[in-house]
This record gives sequence, C-alpha cells and structure tokens, in this order.
Amino acid sequence: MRALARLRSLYRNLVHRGRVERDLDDEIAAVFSALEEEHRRSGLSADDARRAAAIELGRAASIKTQVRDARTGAAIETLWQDVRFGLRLLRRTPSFTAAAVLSVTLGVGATIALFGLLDAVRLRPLPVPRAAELAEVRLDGPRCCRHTGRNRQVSLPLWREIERQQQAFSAMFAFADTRFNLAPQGDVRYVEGLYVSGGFFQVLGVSALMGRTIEPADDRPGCNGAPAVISHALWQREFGGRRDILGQTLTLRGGLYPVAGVMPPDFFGVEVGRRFDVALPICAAGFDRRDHWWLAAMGRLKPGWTAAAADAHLAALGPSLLNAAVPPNYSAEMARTFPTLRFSVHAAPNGVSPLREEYGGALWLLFGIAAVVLLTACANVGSLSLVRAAARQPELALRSALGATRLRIVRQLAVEGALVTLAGAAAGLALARAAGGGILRALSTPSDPIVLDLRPDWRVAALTAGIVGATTMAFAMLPVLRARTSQPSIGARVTAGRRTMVVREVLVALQVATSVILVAAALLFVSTFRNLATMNTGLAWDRVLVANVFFADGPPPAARAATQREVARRIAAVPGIEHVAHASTPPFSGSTWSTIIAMPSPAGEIEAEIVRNQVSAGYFAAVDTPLVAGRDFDHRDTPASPLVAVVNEQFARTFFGGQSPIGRRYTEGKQQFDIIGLVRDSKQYTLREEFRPITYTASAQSADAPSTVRFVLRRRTADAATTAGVRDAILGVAPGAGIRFATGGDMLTDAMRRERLLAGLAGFFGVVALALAIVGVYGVVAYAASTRRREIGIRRALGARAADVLRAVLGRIGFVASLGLAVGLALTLSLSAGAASLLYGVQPHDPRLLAAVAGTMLLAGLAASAFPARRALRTDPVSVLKDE
Amino acid sequence: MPRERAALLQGTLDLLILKALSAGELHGLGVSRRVAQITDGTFTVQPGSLFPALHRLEEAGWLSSSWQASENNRRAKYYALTKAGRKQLGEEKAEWNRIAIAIAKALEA
Repeated sequence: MRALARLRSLYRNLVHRGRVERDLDDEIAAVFSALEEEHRRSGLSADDARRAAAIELGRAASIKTQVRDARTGAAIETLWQDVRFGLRLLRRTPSFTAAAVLSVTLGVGATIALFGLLDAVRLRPLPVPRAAELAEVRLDGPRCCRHTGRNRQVSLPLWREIERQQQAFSAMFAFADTRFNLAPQGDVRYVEGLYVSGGFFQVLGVSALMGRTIEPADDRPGCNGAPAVISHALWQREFGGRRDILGQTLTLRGGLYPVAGVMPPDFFGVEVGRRFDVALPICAAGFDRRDHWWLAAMGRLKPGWTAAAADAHLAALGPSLLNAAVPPNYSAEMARTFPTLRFSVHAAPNGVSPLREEYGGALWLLFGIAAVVLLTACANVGSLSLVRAAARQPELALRSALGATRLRIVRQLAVEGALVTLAGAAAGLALARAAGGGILRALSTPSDPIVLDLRPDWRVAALTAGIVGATTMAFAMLPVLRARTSQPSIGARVTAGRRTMVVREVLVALQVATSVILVAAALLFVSTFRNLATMNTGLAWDRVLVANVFFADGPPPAARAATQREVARRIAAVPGIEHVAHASTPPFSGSTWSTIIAMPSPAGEIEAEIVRNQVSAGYFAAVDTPLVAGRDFDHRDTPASPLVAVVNEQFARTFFGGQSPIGRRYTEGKQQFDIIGLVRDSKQYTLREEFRPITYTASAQSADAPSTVRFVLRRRTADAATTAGVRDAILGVAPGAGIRFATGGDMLTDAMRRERLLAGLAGFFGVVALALAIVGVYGVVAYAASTRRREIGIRRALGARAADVLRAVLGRIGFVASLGLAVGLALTLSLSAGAASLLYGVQPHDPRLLAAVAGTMLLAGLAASAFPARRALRTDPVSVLKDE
Repeated sequence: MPRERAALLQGTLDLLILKALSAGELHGLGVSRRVAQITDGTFTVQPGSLFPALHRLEEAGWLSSSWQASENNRRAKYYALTKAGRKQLGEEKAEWNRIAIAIAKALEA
C-alpha cells in the first residue's frame, strides 16, 4: 500500500515535475501572503508586514530546496541536475573534454579489442557440450619423412590403430582440413573443407540445424553415396538459405556428394580461426596409405582421466600402435626409427589452432601493450582531471559559499568524471569492434582466411571502464577531499598545494615511463618489419608469379607430361613472361618438403634431415638464384638417366666443409643422387629462417607427371594482362584445368603479416603514447610556470638571468621526466625478453635503440616545455605587479 | 528559552503533525500554529522543517492535500489525514506511550 503511494509520488515527481514545482511555488507564496495579511491586520504598515512575514517564514528558496530534498526520487532529480550541469561544463571546455575522452577511448578500446582477440584465439572453450573433456593426440619426435604440417599428425591406418587400442578416451574422432574447389574450371573458387571421421559430430555433441550430420555409417570403405554436411554460412552464401538444399548434390573433386545436413551458425569445427564450409567423411579423401600423414586425432577423455594420464597411456601404447602401421616403402633404417616416435596428449578444451601457435605470443604481447596504453590513459586522464580541478577552485569555492554541501560538490565532480568515462568507454567499445575486425582483416589472406567470433567481453569492458572511471573521479575529487576546510574563500587566489603538485609529478613520471615502453616497442617492431622487408632472400621473388594448375579432370596420367610441356611452351609465348619453370614446393608457399639423406664421410655414414625441392630446368634463372658451379638441369636429365641433384652453398658448407660438392653423391632411401651443380643460398619456408641445406632434384627425371603443377613465372612487369594471358594459355591447352594465381609480392606480404600487424599497432600506440606524454609534460610545466609567475617576474626585475628562470621552471620537471625515462627503460629491458621470438635483426638491449628512445623522449619533452618556458621568460615584471 | 523549544525531538515531528491534523484539515501555517497550541508553546515548527515534513507525509500516503479558500478568503493548500494516516497516528501514539512509560520508569528507578 505504502510502496504503491511512493511509486505514484515518484512517477508524479519525475514526470509531472513542472506541475509539482508550480504547486510548491503557489503554496509558499500563499503562506507568505497569509502571514503578510495577518501582520497588516495587526496594524503594521505594508512594508513592515512584508518584512515581518519574510522573517517568520525564512528564505523561501531554502524551504523549497528542503522540500525538494524530502521528495521521493530527490536523488534521481539531483543526479539529473548534476548530469546536465556536467554536460554543460564539459561542452564549455572542449579541449579538456576531447583530450580526456580520447584517452579513455584509446585505452579502453585497445584493451577490449586485444582481449577479445586473445579470448577468441586462446581462452574461450569450443561451443560444444563439456568442452573440458576434449584432448588432442599428437605424434612427436624426429619427423622421419613425414610430411607433417598444420594438423597433420597421423595416417589413416595409424588413426584406426589408435582408435582401436586406446583406453583413455570414451570416444575419439579424426579430421583433416582441406579446401574444395566449387568452380567447375578456370580460376578456382575455394571453400574451406573438412574431412571427418564418422564419429566427429556425435563425439563433439553437435547436431545439425537441418537434416543430419555425418554418422559412423557414412565413413566406410569405398565411400559409396557418402553425404556432405555444409555450414550455415555456405548455405546462406551459395544457396540463399533455400529449404530444399537437402539432397542436392555438390560436385567436389570430381565426385558427387548429396547434402545431408546444414550445421548451426555458431559451429565452426574444432579449429579456432578457421570455419569449415563443407565436411565429407574421411573415406572420400581416398588417402589410406600408411605414409600419408594427413589426419589430426582428438577425443573425449573418460571420466576421471586427465590429459597427463592419457599422455602416459598413449606413450606406453605407442610402439605397438606404430609397429602396426609402418609404411611398407620405408627403408630398414626408417622402419627402425619409426616406432620410436612418441604419442602425446594435450588438453584441448578450446580446440586446436595453428593460429594460436603462430599468433598467441604476438597477441599476448599486444594485449600487454594495450594494458600499458590503458595505464597511460589513466595517468593522462588523472593529470588532466587534476589540472581541471585546480582551475575550478574559485568556482567550487563560490558554490560552497552559496550553500552547496561538500557532498554535493564531490558528487558533481564524480558525475563529471563518470560522464567522461562513459563517453570514452562507449567510443572505446566502438573502436574495439572496428579494431578487432581490422586486425582480423590484416591477418587474413584470400588463401588463408581467419574467421573468429569477436564479441566484446562485458566483464573486461566493465573492468577497464571501471579502472579509468575510478582514476578520473579520484583525481578530480582529490583537491576537494583533501582540503581540510571548505571555507568559501571567494576570489581568493587558490593555488594547488605542494602535495597536489607532487601527485601531478608522479603522474608525469608514470606517463613518461609508459611512453618509453610503448615507444621502444614501436621502434623494435618497426625495425623488425623493416629488416624482414629489406632482407636478402636469395630470390627475385617479388617479380615472380606462381600459377598453381590442377589437371584433375585433364588428360590421363600418361599424356600429362606432354600436356604440361605444351602448357609451359604456351605460357613462355605470353608477352611479359621472361622465364617459365615449375617447382614442387615454391618458396614461401606455406609448405616444405623435408627428407632424410645419407652420405659417406670420413667419420662414417652421416644422416641428416634437409629440404628438398623438385624443380624444372630454368627454375634458378626464373627466381634469379645464381648458379655458382656445375650445371643446371637440362635435356640430358630424363627418367632413364642417372639421378642428379643441384645443392645450395649451405649444403656444401654443412656436408663438405665448403669444398666443391660437384661430383659427390648422396642417397635418399634407395635412390642415389649425383651432385651436378651448386647454387647460392635462398630462403625456402620463412623469411626468418637461417639459410638451410637444400637439394634440388629434376622434375624431368620423375617418371609420372603430378596432377598439380606449380609454375614459377618471372614477369617483366606486374600487370593484369600478363596474368590473363597466362590463364588463356593454360586453358587453351587444358580446358578443364583449375588455376590459382599468387604473386611473389603477395606471398611475401603474407609471410610478414604478423610483423606488419605488430609494427602497425605498436607504432600507432607509440605515437599516441608520445602525444599523451607531451600533453602531460606540457600541462605540468605550464602550470608550474603560471603558479610561479609572480616569483619569476620579481626575479627578472631583480636581474635574474634567463638561465636561472629556466632552471626554476624546468629543473624539477626535468628531474621527474628523467626518472620516468629511467624507469621506463628498465621496464622495457625486463619486459622485452618475452618478445625476443617476435623480433628479427634487432635486440631490445641494443644501445642504439635505447639511445633512440631516450632521444625521442628528450625531443618530445623539449617540444612540450618550449612554449610555457618561453612564456615564463617573457614575463613582464610590471604587468605582474599590476595584476596583483 | 526559544532555542530549547526549537529542538524538536527526533521522530516527534511526524507524530505532532498527524495529531494536529486529527481534529480536522488545516493549511500549512495552521498546522504549525496548532502544534504550538496543543503543546502549550513547547514546540514550534519552523517552516523549513514543516513543509518538507508535510510533503513527505503526503507522499507516504498519510496526508492528502487540496487547494481551498482560507478563513479570510484567500487560496491556501489544506492538508487532511487519510485513512492510512489515521492508522499511522494510532501506531505512533502507541509507540510513543510505550517509550514514554519506559523512560519515566527508568528515571524513577
């Protein structure tokens, strides 16, 4: 009953405020005139009656204020007043508002964006039931001729053995990522593909949105009538979300697969950073050879089993599993090594992710940088708030003189701080959204799209906004809270106390220190990027166009070699093409071919794992890697002639002590190669790698032509017409061929995208931090100069030299900034150890780097203090004395 | 000792206002005079306390207000006890008596 009455009052007070106020005005006015009337009747004159009534009633405004305070919802009412007043004040000081809001925006935005990425890549569990039970099985140890790579751990026979013999998992599944070409011919149109074992979806515990998933019965030898399951995204994109998609057939890899189901939109597979579009049972791949390493294995641990226990179990089981799956074509030596590989089990509640391995460290580092940016923003907002609070002393004193309680003033300041924080946090959230998307785009390439579900984490958003908000409010209220008495010294010169000055200096030192860290990070990552971009790769790679040609539906294998020779001949005739060659694994293409070779040496036979690349004649000319000695491959090298190889200088250095390798021999398995040529070193897999021993073998000596040829073409100029000419040349000979072009420049760009991202973000934050530090130093110097204006004027009048005045104004801030610089450098050195693996060709403790950082900060400090110092020097003693 | 008279006991203001209105409706100034009258001038209620209290009690649903013509034909806002207010007066009276007896006992002991 009473609550209802209150609620009615609240509604009336807030919604019909004008009526309630008018009513109050009328009531007080009526009381006043009633009193006045009474006094007049008792014989007083009109004036005296009014005066007496006024004395009896007291101040009308004060009564009204007290009535308002007693009203239901008074707190909301005054809060609203504070908000409007705060907004008006903030509008009136646009530079403070802009600087503070921008600081908060950057700090909050950077932190939320980077945490969002980190969470999506590293922390968030897979969206499946009981994700904590998931674990993955890996095979470690010498690579021993396995073409390992992303998620390529076991062969199909080995997977079957694991699934059959293991006891640690209640159920297991295997999968392999791949790409399927949806285009019938010409330029390929890839969609992300997934081969899954029959239990994949059931073990994960996800069901289809429409139709059914792939089931154990679908994964059977021969794979007759095997179904495809498609993603929600593909369903929408390619089929417009049509309901009759079920039962339609997809043509993939030359086979027909009816669509059995569509998965729900939030299911992306088990690989974070990728999103599958089409899933087929693993039988559809047809890879059942024992030396075909293409599957990743995962499972759900049995209740009570930990990953460590499962690891011990599989390690013990390893030899029996491996012995059952030794590839028959292995040499005796390799067959002996093979069972010594070791299985390991790793908890995988958030799935598997090569992205995590590649970018995990970088993301943590960027998150750390974002946290430093947040700290800088806090220091900046804090010192800005202090300046503002000092500037507002007279106003606050006036308000307190007019009867505002201290609580009211503090609340007003808190509301202003909250407004700045809220505006900054809202803008920060928007920035985080845009930045998160931008970072993903920077990391993605057409051939390797990265898809992550980036949603703002509200806890982190609230936490970061809370930190900044608390800082803002604390520093805004500090002078008021500390003032021992709030005596209304209207018009008095209120100067900041010594302690406020110290707080500001600490904030400046903090700002300088964080800026040093951010500037150092910027220099480190920009240098890393520059070092990689300008390095000598040993290749003229940026002038190369790689054309991957898939002859899947083309001529029968016997006729392939002739077709491919004809394609090469036609491409060579395309205007603008200077050299035509092909290679099994072009550099920077994301894969490499390792092999184990053996050769006699004085100390007995040596064995080593090296890189092999199978190339055509003319490859070295195409990539501009000079032949140092011996000869290139030519018409003499045929399937019938003795096997030959060209090696690089690193090979010669490693195995022949730098002596000429020409005429030497090595064996690979059962094959023996004569070394006929020596070429310069070049990078093969990554830009960061040291030159590795490489052996090149002749594709012309391979008896069967592969179905995929990777042409390496040297162009005179990079233009679309050349690419179009090459496409026409290929399709003119092999109309059904699929083609994927990649320019060497794009491949290099892709190879450096992590470095580019780090350099870009660290550089941006470095500049921002520097700007914030300049603003901070400027504020303190200007403030110190203005509070000491009188003193400076008098000293100048008494004949002080400019140097003395400068020392007075700048001495302390110079000391404070140097302290910040020293702390920042020390922190940089101790923090940068974690970043070592992300750097290239530059060291955090390089004295030149440290000097560059210190120099940058010094310049920034000079720039920040030049203007206020000049103003201090020009202080006119006469005007100072007149002012006072 | 006007100062002492002004020091109204905490919590008694509501009770006095409710009691003052129990005999019939009054305007704000009337409430103040009535309180002074029924307490033989021991308590005077200042406008700065009276009007907030009247509004608070009205919002609590114990009083209702209306604009009426006053004794000398001016417009004035009149307050009257509601049913809930009468009940509240009974409760506060009982509470006050309990306390008064307890205090009296304590002082005689």
